[in-house]
Amino acid sequence: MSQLKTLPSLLINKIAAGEVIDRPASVVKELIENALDSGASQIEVTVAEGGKKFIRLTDNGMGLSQADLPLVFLSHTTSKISTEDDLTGIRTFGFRGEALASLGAVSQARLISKLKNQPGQAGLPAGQAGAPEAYVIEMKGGQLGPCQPAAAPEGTTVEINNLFFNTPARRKFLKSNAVEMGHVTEMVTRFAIAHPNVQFRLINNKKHVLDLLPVTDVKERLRHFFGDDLVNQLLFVEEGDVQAYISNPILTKPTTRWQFFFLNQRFIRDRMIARAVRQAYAELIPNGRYPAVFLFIKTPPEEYDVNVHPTKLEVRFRHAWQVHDEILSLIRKKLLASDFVPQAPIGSAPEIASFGLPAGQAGQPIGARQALVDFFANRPPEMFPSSLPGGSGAPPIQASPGTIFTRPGPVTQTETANAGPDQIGAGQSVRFSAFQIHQSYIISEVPDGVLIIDQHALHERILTHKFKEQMRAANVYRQKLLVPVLVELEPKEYDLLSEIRPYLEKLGLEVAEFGQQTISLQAIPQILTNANLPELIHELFNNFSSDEFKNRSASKKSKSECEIADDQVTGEEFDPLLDDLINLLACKAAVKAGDALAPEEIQALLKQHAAPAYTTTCPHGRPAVFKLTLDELKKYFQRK
Amino acid sequence: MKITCERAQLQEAFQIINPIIPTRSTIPILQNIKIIAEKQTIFLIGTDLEIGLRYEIPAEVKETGTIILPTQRLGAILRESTDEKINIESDGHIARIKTKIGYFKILGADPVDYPDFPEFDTKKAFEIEASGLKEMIRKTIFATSGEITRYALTGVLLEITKKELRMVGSDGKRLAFIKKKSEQNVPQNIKVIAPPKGLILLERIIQDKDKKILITLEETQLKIQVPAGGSRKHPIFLFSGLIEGNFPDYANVIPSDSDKKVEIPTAEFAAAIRQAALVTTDKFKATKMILEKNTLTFFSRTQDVGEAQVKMKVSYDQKPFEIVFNPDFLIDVLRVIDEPKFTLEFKDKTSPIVLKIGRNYVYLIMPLTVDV
Repeated sequence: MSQLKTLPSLLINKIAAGEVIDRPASVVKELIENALDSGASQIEVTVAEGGKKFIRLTDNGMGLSQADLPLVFLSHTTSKISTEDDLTGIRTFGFRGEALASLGAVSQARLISKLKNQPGQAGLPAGQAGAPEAYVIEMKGGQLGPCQPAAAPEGTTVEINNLFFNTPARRKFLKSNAVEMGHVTEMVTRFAIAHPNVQFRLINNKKHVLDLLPVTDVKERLRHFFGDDLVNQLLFVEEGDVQAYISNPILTKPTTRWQFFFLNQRFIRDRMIARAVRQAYAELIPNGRYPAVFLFIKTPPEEYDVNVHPTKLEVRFRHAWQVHDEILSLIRKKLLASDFVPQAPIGSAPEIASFGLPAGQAGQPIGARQALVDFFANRPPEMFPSSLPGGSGAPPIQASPGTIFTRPGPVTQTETANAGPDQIGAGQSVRFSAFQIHQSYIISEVPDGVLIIDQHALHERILTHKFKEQMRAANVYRQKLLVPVLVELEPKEYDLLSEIRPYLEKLGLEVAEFGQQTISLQAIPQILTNANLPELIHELFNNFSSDEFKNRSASKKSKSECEIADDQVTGEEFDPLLDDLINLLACKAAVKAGDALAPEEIQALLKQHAAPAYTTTCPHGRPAVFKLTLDELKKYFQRK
Repeated sequence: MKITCERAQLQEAFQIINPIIPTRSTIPILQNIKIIAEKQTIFLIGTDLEIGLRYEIPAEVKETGTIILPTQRLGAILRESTDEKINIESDGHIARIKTKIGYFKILGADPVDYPDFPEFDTKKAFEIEASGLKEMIRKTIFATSGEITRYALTGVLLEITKKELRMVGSDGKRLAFIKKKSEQNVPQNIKVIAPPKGLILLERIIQDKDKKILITLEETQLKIQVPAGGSRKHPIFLFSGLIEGNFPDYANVIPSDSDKKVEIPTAEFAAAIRQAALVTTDKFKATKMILEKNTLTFFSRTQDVGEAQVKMKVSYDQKPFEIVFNPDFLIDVLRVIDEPKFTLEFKDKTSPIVLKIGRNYVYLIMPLTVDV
């Protein structure tokens, strides 16, 4: 007797359901996609017990006709595609015709729909005059019920009761109500961000979780979900078919949960895009921290394939590297072009009205004073126009009323006195005074506030940049040593010598073998003053042999295309292997926390900082500069 | 204690001791100055434990004793006063200072807490010639390294033989060597590394009139007595710790095979190199020196800054030659050269530049390998 047999279709659907439907959130996903495909502008999702007991989705889409209703729960029935050619140009969210069939197999499903009254259908036969009727159809564990008339508004409502009631194994794997609800909310959030113009409502156990009116700007949706603190720090970038809101590198998150990628309004996960984002922020944020990124890509459906997996979470791009490179370049350019001095979040400054005065009484005079302060606060930009051409004659200061209140007098004097030729063209170069505290930080006055600079981090950043410049020009300044420095290597290190040697040479470290497991340093890069050379050599070897390093080296070999892209973006044609070593070298060469700096050294550091090429983080991604603005100080001291 | 002394003398002593006194110290009592009143003199003592100085001035001592007083405050009183004489009385740890118009009561510290100050044992001492010492210190100390990672190089090597005095300073990239013929009655050849702090102090104390200084050498300490003379009524005693470590074998490093040689007028050369260095920056300093027939050219170029080219006439007719180096290394040495002329010698691009003044001063600069 044959052991192989064809499975009954119900069983097939149950099995398929495991792929498409694995938890309430995926039910919500499928239903919302159907609703969006039907042109809905209002979508309401109601769940009970995290969706385990009950899920209802109501939309105002085009609805289904009586004739279609019996077919909705059948496998591979769909209105979204009809020929094979359609598969390569999918413009709808669903197309496989699996979702409702799967749902019908593993739950008690009910669908009510009323066809939208379309203008073209005005002259219907007499029997069907007026608005089209609504119909309802049920399917319980794969048993299709009859199609019956019902009363309902235009659109479609789908109810899913007792999900997985007949697949106990699957049901067992569901998490607590709260966890499942979290997933549902996350799912609705994704759609709400992708479709800001659609009204979403999410109700759990009769409580409104989300109530989102349609908006024109996606930023409003982001603000709703992530709050002002994050959204105010987002930068907008746009190029071609890619738009993105990206976070200032100062604002980082502990996981990638704040990264949302949308492809033609479909939420996707994509390793290449994630990689591009990671690379764009490389060296700007600390290891183990992630930026918030909301990326919206529009591309013709022919350029990618979503039919990779039933959940359609992953896509395959036809030109994956091109997408990667475009995104990397877009974000990186923006990041390098921006000034990211972090500002103190003094949002919690005590309210003036909290002095026990009734709000009404206190409000009036304070309001008036506030208006004055605001008025004058807007003056300073006139006195420090961004186009201030350094030495070439600052425009005469106008005697505006602001001069009386904002006390710009002494400041401006110093400024004109300072505006020497060496400050021409430097972005933020109008320095007034600076000093060092705790032999670690430099405090510097700038027109709109105070900069607090981590001397080591900033110097390291500057040196890394300069050193890379030298390397790029294949012109590292190597200082010959009068007496070579001998470094005794460990056996493990000695084995690596021939491998690491080309790198050492590139870095400007000339080494020669010197007897048993000892090397002699003949020349060192000029920037390396004050470095403990043997220690540095050991660290270089250590870095070189670390796993992470090897991985990078491996990835370099397999993904050279990408690295070339990096080079184009950052203008650095470096072997990324060298990067770590350069960073290490710069770190050793930079002034340390605890080094007393002479005033000239402080000035030199600040002058270099003003050069536009430098970002405000050290190569390890730690911030180097912190800014306290005058406004914040005023707020804190309740002058505002 | 109860003393009266000349304010000017006391102030001079303060000025010499003050730089030694640490402004911040883990041992706060070191921020004080110790005053000991004996028969007809008072001793002023300051130390940071690494180096120390004892200065003696004549005084009218009515009552002997010891007091520890904050250096800065006492110094300020001396500075502000115009009196000829000054009175200091102590009562326990409290000092009462009387000037014509002022009366100060200053809280001092307990002398017991002040570290012991070494004594100078004249019997063990040997004499070395003082003349020229100042110059030797000046011409070598600038070349020492500030890098504590090569500790021996932070100090100046001091070699004393019966016939010669030698000093060497180096930071591993350049080296300054000076020697002087002089008679010393040292029992054997001496070779120690002295920290710059102590030498700078010695350089400041020695006056041109000084003929001899007395030295004793102990395991970790160099003790020096500068005898009375000139305006100094009493000898000054200073000690300095020594640096342990191996100083590189300088004799092997000084090349003898440099085949190109050019005589250089100091002032003109100094002006030229300083101009050429204008366009170099903090951590990236490189200048190329080009020698052609009777012309010396400096050339510097720094990205983001610019270029400089400075020419001067020299008499040179050997093979054209060029070498790149850190201009600071030359600028530094030119600050301490008083002679109107010196010679430069070269071998090739990777061998040291050798600057010589007569037969007694040699200064080496290791080149940079970089294309400018």
